[in-house]
Amino acid sequence: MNYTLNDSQGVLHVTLPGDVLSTNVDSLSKSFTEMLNSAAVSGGRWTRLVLDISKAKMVDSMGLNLIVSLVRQVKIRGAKLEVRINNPNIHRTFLFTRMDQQVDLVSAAA
Amino acid sequence: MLQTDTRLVLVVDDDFISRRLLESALSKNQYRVVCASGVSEAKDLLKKDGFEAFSAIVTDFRMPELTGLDLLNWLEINDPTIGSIMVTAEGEKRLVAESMRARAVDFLEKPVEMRRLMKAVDRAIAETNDRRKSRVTQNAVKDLGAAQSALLKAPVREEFRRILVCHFPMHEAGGDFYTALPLDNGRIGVLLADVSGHDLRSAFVGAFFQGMARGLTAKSSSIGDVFRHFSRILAEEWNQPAEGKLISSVLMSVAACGLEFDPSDNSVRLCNCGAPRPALVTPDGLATLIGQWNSPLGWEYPLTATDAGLPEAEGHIFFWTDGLDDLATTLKCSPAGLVTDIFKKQALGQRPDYLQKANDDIMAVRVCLGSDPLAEPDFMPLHVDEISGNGANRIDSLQEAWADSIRRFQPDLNESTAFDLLLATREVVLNGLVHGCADNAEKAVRLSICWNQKGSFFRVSVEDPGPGHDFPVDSHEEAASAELMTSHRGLIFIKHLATRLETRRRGAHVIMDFHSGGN
Repeated sequence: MNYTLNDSQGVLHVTLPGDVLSTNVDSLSKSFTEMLNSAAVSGGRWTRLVLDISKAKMVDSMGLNLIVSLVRQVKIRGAKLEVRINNPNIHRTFLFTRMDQQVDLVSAAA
Repeated sequence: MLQTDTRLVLVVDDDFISRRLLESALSKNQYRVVCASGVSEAKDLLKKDGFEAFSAIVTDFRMPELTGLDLLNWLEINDPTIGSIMVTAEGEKRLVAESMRARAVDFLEKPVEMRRLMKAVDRAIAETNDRRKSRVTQNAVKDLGAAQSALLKAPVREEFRRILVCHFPMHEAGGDFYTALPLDNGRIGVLLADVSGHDLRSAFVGAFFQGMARGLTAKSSSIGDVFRHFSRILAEEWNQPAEGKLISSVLMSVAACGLEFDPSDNSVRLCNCGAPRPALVTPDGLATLIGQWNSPLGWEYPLTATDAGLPEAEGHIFFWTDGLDDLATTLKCSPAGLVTDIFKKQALGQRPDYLQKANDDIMAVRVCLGSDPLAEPDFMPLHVDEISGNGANRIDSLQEAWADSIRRFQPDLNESTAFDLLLATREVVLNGLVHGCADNAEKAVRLSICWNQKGSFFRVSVEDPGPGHDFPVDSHEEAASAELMTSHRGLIFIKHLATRLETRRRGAHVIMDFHSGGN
């Protein structure tokens, strides 16, 4: 997982290397926690977190729950979450779980 | 025709003096000799008197029109067993390599030293005798293999029409066999067996076992009794040393699966000793592995294997030898899916390319259990598995295997359907492993993926041993979104991904359909 913080634009950009699944959510969750608790990120002036999962071919329910927990943390901070998706099937799962009501969905292919 | 003489030598040389010299020398050493002045005459002699009449050929290389090498190449096609000696002029050694490729036993340089000639002719005759003995054996093996294949042709009895067999032998003869047995009261027996090894010994054991099964079942023995009796013979007689030596140099065992089917009430009895567990595919597209795996015959005595009974079974039973299991492991897919593909291709008169990767004979049998013995199954199994209850951490590799199984059968399947099927199956299997099995290795989730040809859809069945639980997924769905709840999200996935969703036993058994045109 890579992230960059752009204080001037108020954006925290996080890129995941691939799928978000039951088999890797624990390590991803740990990485998210470490990132959000780091001095640079927790003290940063970002108001938008861009989560780039354009390399993912599948996000299962536990993977989506990880993103839901991220939404909660971002909301507590008063920020917004934007999710960049490339795969139309993943995009469909975000729609039927009504995640489009909680996050800004952006098609990375567009 | 000349009489067969193990010491009859054909000398081929265009030079009269050389020919007479060779003839004289060989005759003095008790060989009978026939001479030809060129390749054409030699061919005529061989055809007229018969190849078997000659034990060796001594041929000059350089002759007008055709060379000695031309003669050897012709012999390679017409009778590769005759040992030959090539005589070359000095300095023609480069010809030797080519001659050896054309199976010349030896070569001699001119002027020919007589002592060397005699040794070379003796070697050629010995080689001829060895090759001819080997050919007799090879022909016997081929005849045996042909006889075995003939026995596997379409069943001749009316009641056996419900049985379909696929056989791809990797060897000329072997120990894999299938036989249909008429049993008491109109019942039908089907026996599939794989004798260890791939040689004449295996073929003999297979034939012995098959004959014994026919004899005992004709006298009202059950297939289970046949197994017990034969296991005793293997364990107590053949695999026991007699005077310090085993009858065979290796221990013999037989993996066998036998089925007794009663068409009057559709009941099935199954006895499996070492063969892969068969798959039962019901008319509504649910497939399960049936019976228990027991030790192969010959491993133990008394045999502890128990018969499994299936009252009022419906649908089709598929079973196969472990060669297919091994191939499925190599191809990383489900054996049941391979069986389906093999039967599909056999119906089209095709031989699947992937059989080149098989290391063992492949045999599969399909038995129709319904009242119509020729009924084709509506659902074909693509993946049938029992996943150990602690297998949640293997879910990625399991999912890859499901993908391989469906792609093998439907290579042009659209991405959307494959995604929906794989993700929904992943969700249900994970739920079954974590909740239904509580990560207990002693428990298992039963999974099947079948293809319905008529309706062009997949049917996935996932059943766990847990009690299940009732859950109002529809009312939960809105709250889960609005309140950012993480519980039961897998159920929401399943509901939307499947074209049709059915739950039994309070959700412990989930059946999902996925139409190939997408959701």
